[in-house]
Amino acid sequence: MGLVAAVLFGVFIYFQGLLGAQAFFLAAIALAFFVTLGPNGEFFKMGLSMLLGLVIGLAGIFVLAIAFPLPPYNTGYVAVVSAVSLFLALLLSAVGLRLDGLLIGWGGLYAAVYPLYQNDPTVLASAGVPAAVGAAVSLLVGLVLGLFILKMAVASAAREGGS
Amino acid sequence: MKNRCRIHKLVAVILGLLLVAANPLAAFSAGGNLSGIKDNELVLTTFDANGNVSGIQVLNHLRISGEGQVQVTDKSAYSLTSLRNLYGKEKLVVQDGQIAINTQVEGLKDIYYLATLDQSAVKDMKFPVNIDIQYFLDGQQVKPAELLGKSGHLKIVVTVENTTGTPKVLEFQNDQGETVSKEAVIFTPYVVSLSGWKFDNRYFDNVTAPGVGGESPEGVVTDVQGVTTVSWTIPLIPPSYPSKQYAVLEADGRNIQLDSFDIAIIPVLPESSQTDSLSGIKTAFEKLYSGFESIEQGVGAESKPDTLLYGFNTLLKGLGNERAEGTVINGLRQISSGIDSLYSNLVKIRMGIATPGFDPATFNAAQGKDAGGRSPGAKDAIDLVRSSVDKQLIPAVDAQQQLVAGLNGVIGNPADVGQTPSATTSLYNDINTLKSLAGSGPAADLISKAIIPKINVLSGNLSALEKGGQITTSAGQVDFPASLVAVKAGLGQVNDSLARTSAGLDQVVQGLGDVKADGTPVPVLLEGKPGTILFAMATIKDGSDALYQGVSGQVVPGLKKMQSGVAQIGEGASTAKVSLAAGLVDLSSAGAIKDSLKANVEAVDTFLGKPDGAQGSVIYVFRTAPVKPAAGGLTNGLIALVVLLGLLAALGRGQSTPVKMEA
Repeated sequence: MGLVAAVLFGVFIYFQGLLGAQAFFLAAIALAFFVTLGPNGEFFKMGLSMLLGLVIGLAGIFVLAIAFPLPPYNTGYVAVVSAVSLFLALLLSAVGLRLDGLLIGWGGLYAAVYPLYQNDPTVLASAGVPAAVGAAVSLLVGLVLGLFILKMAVASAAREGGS
Repeated sequence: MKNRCRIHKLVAVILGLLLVAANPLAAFSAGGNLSGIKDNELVLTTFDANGNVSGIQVLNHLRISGEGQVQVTDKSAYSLTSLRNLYGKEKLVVQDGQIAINTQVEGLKDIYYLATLDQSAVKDMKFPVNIDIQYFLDGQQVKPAELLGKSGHLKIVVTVENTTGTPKVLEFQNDQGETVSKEAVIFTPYVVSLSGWKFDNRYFDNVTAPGVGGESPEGVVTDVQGVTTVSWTIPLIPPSYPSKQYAVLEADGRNIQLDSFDIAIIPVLPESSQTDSLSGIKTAFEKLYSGFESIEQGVGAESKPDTLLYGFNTLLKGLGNERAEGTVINGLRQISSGIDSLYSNLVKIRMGIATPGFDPATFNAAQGKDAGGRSPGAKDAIDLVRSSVDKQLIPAVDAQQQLVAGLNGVIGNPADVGQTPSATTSLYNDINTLKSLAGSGPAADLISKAIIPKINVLSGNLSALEKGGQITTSAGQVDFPASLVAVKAGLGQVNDSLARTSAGLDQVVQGLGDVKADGTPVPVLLEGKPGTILFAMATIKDGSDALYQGVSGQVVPGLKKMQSGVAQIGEGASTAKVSLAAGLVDLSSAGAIKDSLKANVEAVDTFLGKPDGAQGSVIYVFRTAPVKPAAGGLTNGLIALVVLLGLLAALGRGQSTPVKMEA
């Protein structure tokens, strides 16, 4: 099972350039998190939550890039905007979305896009959305892999002992 | 617990908002002191994938010195579509071509704003340096976008031209300390930097950046870690460098992709660490100038004494011509003419003395010519006379002497007597016999008084005729010098004299020399020198003619050519001197040109505009569009997202989660 997971992850890494998922490592993080959901986890809702968290994070960075002073001497604005966007992400959990998914999505977006913003905000115009999509793909791949692994684990356990 | 958590979050949000709002509020505090502003502009012009200008942005850096709240008014010479403070919170207000900025300054304050020019201004924008980028693939010109994914020999030609040249009158001091004016086209010096053009070795091979002397600088090519980087530095600084140059990049490409390239144009007059050779060149020019000046002075002019041209002119005047009295050529002409005349007369004398080929044996006295029709010369005539004397006159006199002697014998002596008269007895014997026969009487008297005296006179006169003495005439006794002896002696003397004259004339003829039938002298050389007068005279005549012809036909033209050549040397020296003087002026003007260039550089201090009194600088950057495939990852990623969401929706829905949190 571990070998299957590793192969699937390797295939994903191999094609990460094709998918624009430079932050492929997020898949491993997502995988680790999502496995904790267990065989009965709400994976689809987790995916939606993660995507919304990611969108909120992306919106926050775009707002930072467009409406506020640019790096490097803008830590205060980054703090405020990030805090506000994170606050909005947390607020969305109130409508039934998963908080952990929102946070992973938000964090994954920052991990993938914030370095671009920090290095050259002008790059965001062309590379921001693709990087966010790549991050989303990575996260969803991790989620799907986690789902597969759990499904396979459940099926295997059922065959071995019915438990 | 929930309420406390919400309160904390609310406090955090409010604090964050306050942080955002705090600084802008401070910007509106009381006024302060403004001590200086620096306005540094970077004008970024971007090209689209077709090579056309797509937009112009100006990144403006204002460095404000002062204390407290200040207001800075920057200027915008162009219509702007957007204006953004990049790193600060200050609000930028654009009104009537001015950008107002209120800010709080504590010592120094940096404000960076990005201004985007309106497309209407972009369309007709004129830059101080024209940029033209041409792309060629396998020799065919293509647009940059057409290169994507192609393979072949890529050539990129970037032509840059400084268009700032304007005529200007420079005033400076030359080496003599004189103020000199010179008009020159002065440019604003710009250095174009094509730096860090990167070519991925996966797509390019054989990357070169060749140069052409005086036209195109060679680029520096480095290959590090799979990327070949090419850089050029092009100084557009006339007169040291051409105002228009180009950079060439060539490479073999496969599946071509190009990064964006930057071309920076910097107004600068760079100081060089090159050893100053200008002073050495100037010294050499000055020496060269001095040398040409000496040549020019030495060559001089026809009217300037102690110069070559004056000397040539004097020499040519002295040589003169045939008609100019008192000149060398006229004198040579006269000498030649005199020698010709002398030679001609000597030939005549020679011909008058002895006719060449005259044959005295065939001389016809009646015609005065020999059988060949030649008239005798003086010596020929003398020889003819001598021959006549020898062969005719002297024998004739001898015959006369014999005749007189015979007559004297017939007359006999007065004392002849006693012989019986006969045919052989003397007349005296016969008269004396007759007288003695006559005895006395008239017959004897007639004989004694008439016949014998007459016979005595006849005998005496015959004797005088033969030998000289006195003869008896009716007037008495008179001397008779023309005796036959005297005549013969005279003829001998005449003959001797004629012989000596002939010998003398022979000497003269030998001295003059033999003459050919055509009147030219027979060449005679003695010890390598002319052996006769006529040959010598002919030689002198030829020599004088040659001298005359040489002087008039060769020396004078040669001198005139020399004079012309020297004049040309003088003109060349003068021209070279003028050129060198211009060169020296150019060298002397180098400082003035450099000062003008510096002034022009300092004048280039803004593009968009700058606050009054601000110290400005401007750099232009032209950026090409990258030639790369569209971000395919985005589409693929979106597709993957849909697929993954579909999978999750199909396999991961409808199950309760073990962990659930609410905000």
